[in-house]
Amino acid sequence: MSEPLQKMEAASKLLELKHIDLSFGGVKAISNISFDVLEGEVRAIIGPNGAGKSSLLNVINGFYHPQQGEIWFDGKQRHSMKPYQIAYQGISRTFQNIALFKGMSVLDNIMTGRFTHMHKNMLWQALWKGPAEQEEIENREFVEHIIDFLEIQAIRKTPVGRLPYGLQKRVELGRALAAQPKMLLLDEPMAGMNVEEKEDMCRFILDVNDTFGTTIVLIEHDMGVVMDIADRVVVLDYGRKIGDGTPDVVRNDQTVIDAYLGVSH
Amino acid sequence: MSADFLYTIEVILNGLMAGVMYSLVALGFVLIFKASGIFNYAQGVMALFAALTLVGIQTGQVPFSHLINAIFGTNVHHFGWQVPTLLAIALTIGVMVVFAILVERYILHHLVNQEPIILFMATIGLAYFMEGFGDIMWGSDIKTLDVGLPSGGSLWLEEYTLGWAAEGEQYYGMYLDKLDMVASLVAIVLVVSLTIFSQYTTTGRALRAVADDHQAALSVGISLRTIGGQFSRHSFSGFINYI
Repeated sequence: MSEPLQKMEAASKLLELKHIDLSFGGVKAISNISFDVLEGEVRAIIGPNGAGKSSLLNVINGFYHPQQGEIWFDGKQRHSMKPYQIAYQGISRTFQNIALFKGMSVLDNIMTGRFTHMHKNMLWQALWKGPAEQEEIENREFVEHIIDFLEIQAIRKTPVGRLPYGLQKRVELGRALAAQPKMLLLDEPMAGMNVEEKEDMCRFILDVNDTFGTTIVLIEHDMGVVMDIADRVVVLDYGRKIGDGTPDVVRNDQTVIDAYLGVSH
Repeated sequence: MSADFLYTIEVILNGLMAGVMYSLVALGFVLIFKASGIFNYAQGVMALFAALTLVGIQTGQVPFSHLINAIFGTNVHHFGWQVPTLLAIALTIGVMVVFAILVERYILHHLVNQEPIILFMATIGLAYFMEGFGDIMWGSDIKTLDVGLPSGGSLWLEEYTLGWAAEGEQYYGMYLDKLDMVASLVAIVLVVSLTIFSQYTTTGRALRAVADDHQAALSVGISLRTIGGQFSRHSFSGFINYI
C-alpha cells in the first residue's frame, strides 16, 4: 500500500473541484462537492444508484455547467467551456451506455478520437494529396498503435454496431485513448461484462495508467475492482460526498458502510 | 433499328435525366440527414430562397423594396445595374453561408442533444419563415433564372442519330435537352466527390460522427458548429438543382 501513497505525495493536482453545486430545476443532483485528482493516479468515484456520479463526470467533461463552485484543471480555473473545448484541453471520456459511432468501422471510430490532433483545413482535405494525406498517415500510425495495445487488430474494419458488448467497450476506450488525453474519464467501464472481460478491462486500465501515465477517473459498481485498481476513492450518496481516501480508509468508514447497507437517512 | 425502339430509348434517357434532377434534391436531404440526423423540411424552401437571391442579385433588385416603399412612400425597385452571373453566384453562396450560420446560431445551437422530432419541427418552422421572408425580400412575382447554361435540344445528337433508324422509316433523330445533360453531369460529379469527401477525410469522418452520436462527437472534440457548414453546403447543392 506504500507505493500509491508515495505516488500521491510526489504528484501535483491535475483537477480540483471546489464546492460544486448542480441542480436541474428543483432537483439537486450534486451539492457542495469538493475533491481533487492528482496527476497520474487512478481515482474512483463510487456510490449507490442516483448518487450523482455520472452527473459529476458530466460536470468535469463540460456537458453540465454547475450553478456554483470552481473547477481547476491543469493549474487553470475553467470558465464555462463547451465540451469540445474541454476535449482540446486533454480530457476524454467513455460513456455508461456505449456511445460509439455505430455505422462506422472500428478504425474510423478510433480515428475520430484523433480529431483534436488533426488541423489541416477542409481545402487540403478536399484535395486529399499533400499535407492532409501526410497528417492522415501519421495519425493512422498512432491509431494502429492503440489497436495493437488493445488487442483488437482482427476487428479493425468491422462496423462497430456488429461487435459484442465487451469489444464495443474496448473500442470506446480506444477512441478516448487516441486523443492522448491528460485525463481519462471512464463511466462504468466494466458494467455488464463477464469476469474474463472485466479482467481484461482492468489490465488495460492499469496498462494505460502505467505506460502512458494517463490520469484516470472512473465510476464503477464492482467493489472488488475498485478496491483493486484505484489509488483513491470518492464516495457519493444523495449528491453529497460522504467519504474520500485510499480504498482501505473508505472500506472501513462507518458512513460509507451505512450508505451501502441502507441505513435510514 | 426501328424508329419505335429508338424512341423508347429517347424517352427512357429523358426520364432518367429528369430523375437525376429530383435526385439532387434528394441528395440534399440525405446529406443533411447523414451529417446531422435531422430531416430538414426546409430543404426545398432553402433552394427556392437561394434561387430567388440569385435572380435578385443578377437583375439588381433592391431587397425589401416593397417594404421600403410601403413605409417610406418611395418608389424604388431596381438599382439599375446587372451583376455578371459568376459574381452573382458567388454572392448568393455568400448569402446562403451567412444564412446557414444564423440558422445554426439561433435555432439548431439551442436544440443540441434533443429528440430528432424536435429538430424536425424546428425545420418546419424555418420553412414557413423562409417562405415569407423570401417573398418580403425579393417580391412574389414570377421570375426567370438564366445563368447562361446551354439549353434546348442538342442538334449534334439529332443529326448523329438521324441515320440510326431503319431505311424508309420516319425518324428525325434523338431529342435530349442540353440543360438536362449538364445537370446530370453536375449531379454525378457532386455525388462522387461527396462520397469521397465523407469517406476519406477528417471532416467527413467528423460529420458522420456527429450524425451518429452528438454527445460522443462532442467528447472527442468535434464542435457541432460543423453542422452549420453542412447546412451551407446543402443549400448550395439545392441551388445547383434549381438551375
